[in-house]
Amino acid sequence: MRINSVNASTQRVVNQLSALSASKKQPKLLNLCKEDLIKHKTITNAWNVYQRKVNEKRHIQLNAQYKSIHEAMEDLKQTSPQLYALANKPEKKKKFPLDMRMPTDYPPTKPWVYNYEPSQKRK
Amino acid sequence: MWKSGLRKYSAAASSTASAGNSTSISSTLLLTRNPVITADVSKFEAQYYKYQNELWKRLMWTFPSWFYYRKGTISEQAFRELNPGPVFNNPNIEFPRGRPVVVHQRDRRFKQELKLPKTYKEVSQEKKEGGETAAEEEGAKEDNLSRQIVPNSRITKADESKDLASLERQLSRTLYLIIQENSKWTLPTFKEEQVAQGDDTKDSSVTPLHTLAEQGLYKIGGNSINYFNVSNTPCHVHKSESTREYFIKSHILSGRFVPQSESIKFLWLTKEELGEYLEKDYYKEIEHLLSDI
Repeated sequence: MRINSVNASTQRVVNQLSALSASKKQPKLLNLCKEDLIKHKTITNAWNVYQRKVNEKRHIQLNAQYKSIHEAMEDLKQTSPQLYALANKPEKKKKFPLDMRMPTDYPPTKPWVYNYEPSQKRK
Repeated sequence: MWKSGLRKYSAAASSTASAGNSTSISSTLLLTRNPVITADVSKFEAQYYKYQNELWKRLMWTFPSWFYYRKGTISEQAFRELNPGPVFNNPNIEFPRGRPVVVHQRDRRFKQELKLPKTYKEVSQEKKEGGETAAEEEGAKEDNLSRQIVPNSRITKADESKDLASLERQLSRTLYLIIQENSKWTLPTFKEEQVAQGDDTKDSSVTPLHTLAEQGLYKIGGNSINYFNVSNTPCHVHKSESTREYFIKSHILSGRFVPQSESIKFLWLTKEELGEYLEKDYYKEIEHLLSDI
């Protein structure tokens, strides 16, 4: 038992601070040997190359998509100006659908909602 | 000023519309089912993430067990039983691979591996006890909050039975709807005149492309489809001399595609599978519209 015991609330604060602070909890500094350092750099480099490839591919695809939208609109302008005007109309009241689901790591018990009933308004 | 602009525009419209009357306009629907689960990681990605994870664990601070398990409690005892301390720096022993540096029950040279006391029995234990009792327990556990959480399988029944028309297949990929009406698989395409004749109640003589696609989809696939149209703007045009097919992108959110006539067959396919079903030139043309994930 400690001789200089503090009261309970102070002890609790001390406990909390000890959980937050880095003292005595930090691991030893990671000292990689030369071989390991080269390995680490190789891995990081490979990852960067991979990321660059992925990004380039995405960039090319997005560019192609933009180009094809542009082409389609230019073509629509020539073919049917009425449809062009309708396609260009600003969609002010459009909202992001709340039913849309973000991907999760594991599927829900029922992966897909089948029993959808259209609202009266749409009919 | 804007009035004159409008007048000019309408004049231009009437002049070109008469010229472009011979081309038949149709809207092609690119209906997608977005991935339900996250994308599969490639082997390289998995290896890299594992490496980073291990580094992170190695550099992590010691777990303050005294904060979470108060000394002298039963839970602290359970924790201590699961996590015996490391070998301490005994001066009488020789350590050929370096002397341990133990602080707060952790060897500071290595990562700290912890086992936390569980509120449920481990799966391996249940199996040892016998299948029947384990199954009975599971049934009782349904509303037990401290039950073990077992994630659902990423591979569904539809994947196992290779049901290409199911919306539950390939959960980690984007699926696209294709239909077959006369022995040829295509993306659903709807001609402008067909629908325009059907509803003559509209004020304007033309139906917007996205409405055309919507009406056509309900006509062939039934009304119980909840979908989200990305934009009124077409994302691609498939040209030939006298036809123009404008592509409209939408996502199916819930509901199902129920073919309204028996001649219609439909499939939900990923990008790679589309390449096998569609014509090669056509697929190459629209490849960039399809998602790799």
